[in-house]
Amino acid sequence: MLRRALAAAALLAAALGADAAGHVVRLSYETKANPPRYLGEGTTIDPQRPGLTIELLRLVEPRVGVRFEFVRVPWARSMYLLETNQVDGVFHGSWVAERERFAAYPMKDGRPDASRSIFTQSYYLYARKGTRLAWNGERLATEGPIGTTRGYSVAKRLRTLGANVEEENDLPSSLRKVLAGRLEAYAELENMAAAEIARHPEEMRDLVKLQPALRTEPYYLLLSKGFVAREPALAERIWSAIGEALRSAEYRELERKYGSAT
Amino acid sequence: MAARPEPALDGAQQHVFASRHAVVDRLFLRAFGVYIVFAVVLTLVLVAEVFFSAKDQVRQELAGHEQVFRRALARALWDMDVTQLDALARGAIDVPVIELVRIHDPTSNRVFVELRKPTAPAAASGDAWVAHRFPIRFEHAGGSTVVGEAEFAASGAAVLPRIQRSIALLVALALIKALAMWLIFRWFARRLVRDPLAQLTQAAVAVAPGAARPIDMQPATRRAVEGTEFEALRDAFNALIERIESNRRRFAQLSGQLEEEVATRTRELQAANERLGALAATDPLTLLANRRGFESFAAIVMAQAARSADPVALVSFDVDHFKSVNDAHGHDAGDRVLQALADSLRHASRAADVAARLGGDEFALMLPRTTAEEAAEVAERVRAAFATRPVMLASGREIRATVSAGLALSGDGSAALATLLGQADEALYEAKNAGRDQLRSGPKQLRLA
Repeated sequence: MLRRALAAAALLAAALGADAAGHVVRLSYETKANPPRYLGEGTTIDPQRPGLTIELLRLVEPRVGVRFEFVRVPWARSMYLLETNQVDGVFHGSWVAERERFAAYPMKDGRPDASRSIFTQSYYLYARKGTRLAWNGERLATEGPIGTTRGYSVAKRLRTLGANVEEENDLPSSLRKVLAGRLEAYAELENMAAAEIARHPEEMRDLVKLQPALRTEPYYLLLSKGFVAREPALAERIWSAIGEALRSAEYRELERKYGSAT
Repeated sequence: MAARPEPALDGAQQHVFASRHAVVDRLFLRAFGVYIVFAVVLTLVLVAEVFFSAKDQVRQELAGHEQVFRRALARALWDMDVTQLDALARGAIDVPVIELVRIHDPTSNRVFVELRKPTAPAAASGDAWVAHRFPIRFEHAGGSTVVGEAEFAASGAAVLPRIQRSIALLVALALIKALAMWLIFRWFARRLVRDPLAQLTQAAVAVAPGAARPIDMQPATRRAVEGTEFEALRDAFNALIERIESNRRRFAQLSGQLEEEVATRTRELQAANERLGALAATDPLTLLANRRGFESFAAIVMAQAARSADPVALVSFDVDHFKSVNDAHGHDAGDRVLQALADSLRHASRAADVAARLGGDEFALMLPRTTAEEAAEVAERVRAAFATRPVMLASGREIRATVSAGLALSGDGSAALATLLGQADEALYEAKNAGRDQLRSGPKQLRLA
């Protein structure tokens, strides 16, 4: 109630051309850890070490005059919430043509503007040692199914490569399925898989990361169509501010804080 | 007159009694009509109760299935795992009671899955459905998030099969109850009301005056209504019959007595009349015919004499010096003298002769079919007997009296009585003049010395 009143007051202030500070933008991200972009599993957010992207967005807040609120839900749910305008934005998402239906990307000359992406990351295939799967960067030869996180755009790429794709909800159990042979391989963002494997080094020691990367993409803050329609200028300012913040001294501080490995 | 029984009610009258509607049937129909309405209403209420409780039961079962599916649905929705969601929905729709599964997001109005059993009605969920809706809440470390809403529904039609047996039982019970009530009521109503009434009515109809017996019911019926108004009715009716009978008997008795009385009185009256007639023709002192009697008899005798042309003689008597006897010895003595003369007349005359006291000391004797000589002989016998007969007075004294007599004769019976009397008186006058105590004949053709 109070928040809604505040939001209304902020909207009023924005309409009057004043500083948009206090304008609340609701963002969601995954419940999986993607170190160092976001840390910790589940819906909780550690205020001390939430993750590099969250802290990056904190740098954006004063630049644009908004306040971000974060919720963590599974990726597919994030997409759903974005589609139904129940959140204003989701990070991080690579550009996929189909997503343009319900998500807005920072654009330049009709193409996604990579300069205003948050970061670039790669998908790799993780398989058991001795797998018969063959991947040379161009062609994929596999008999068994390949898993990936539900809603990830890489699923489409895998299908294009002719794979039988199974969308999964849970990374640890998916990796165990690979170890157990129920999945031939699992396509996962490098950071996420590495973090999970690092957490269970003994159990996961038979997993291998297949080179080359399945895909390397710039990842963006996706904003909802509803939000962009409502606040087109603000949306642009947020995306632009991300690019600015990435180049700032504060961000380099943060990179040091999070060890900025990988 | 003996009390002759009157006939009982005739057939037409009896029919009128018999064709009356039995009060018990009317009572029965009305009471039962009301009961049927009541029973129908009660049964409907019970059926409604069964229906609604079955509906509640269905709702509770649906709610029970929420517990089964809640967490899995929350997980699937949380992950937006459409495959899983679909599998869960299919699992739910396989539950017998669930006919509609609908999972949607009330915030965005997006329907994730909606499944119907093929048997379910096509209509949208509404009043005809028993629906259980519940929020799908995903529990996580940060609290819980409502990720959607689910609806498990059963069509109202699905409620019916499970209450069919209950309703059939209810209706059957209501029917059995009604039938039992009918039979029980009918049995008792007939036994306690119709039979006693019918029997009393029949007995009352059969009551015939004069042959009236107390009415009663059959022993079984009598026992059944012992101590009820029917007994009172019967007793009152019998008391009434008793009173009517007693009055009727008293009436018959009284009319018999009255008839007897009338007959007695009539007989007495006849006797009195006869006595009265005799009295009119008799002289009470001498018990001879008086003048009126004499004239009647004389008329008959004269008429017969005239018809047969027989001679008729008439003798007049008169006591000599009767006034002197009266004066000397009193009227009683006079009366005794007259009675003595009457005795003499009675004894001396013949059976066919008629003696009479015509008045005072004047007597007459008519002698039918008698010649002058025969008449004179009789008259002489009378005179002689009287003259020699002492008359005992009350004082004990004896006196003697004489009588003078005058004889007249109608030789062929053609003379009139008055003429004959006049001639006899003339002869008597002559006898008086000749010295009394003697007989003279008149008219001149017959002379006695």
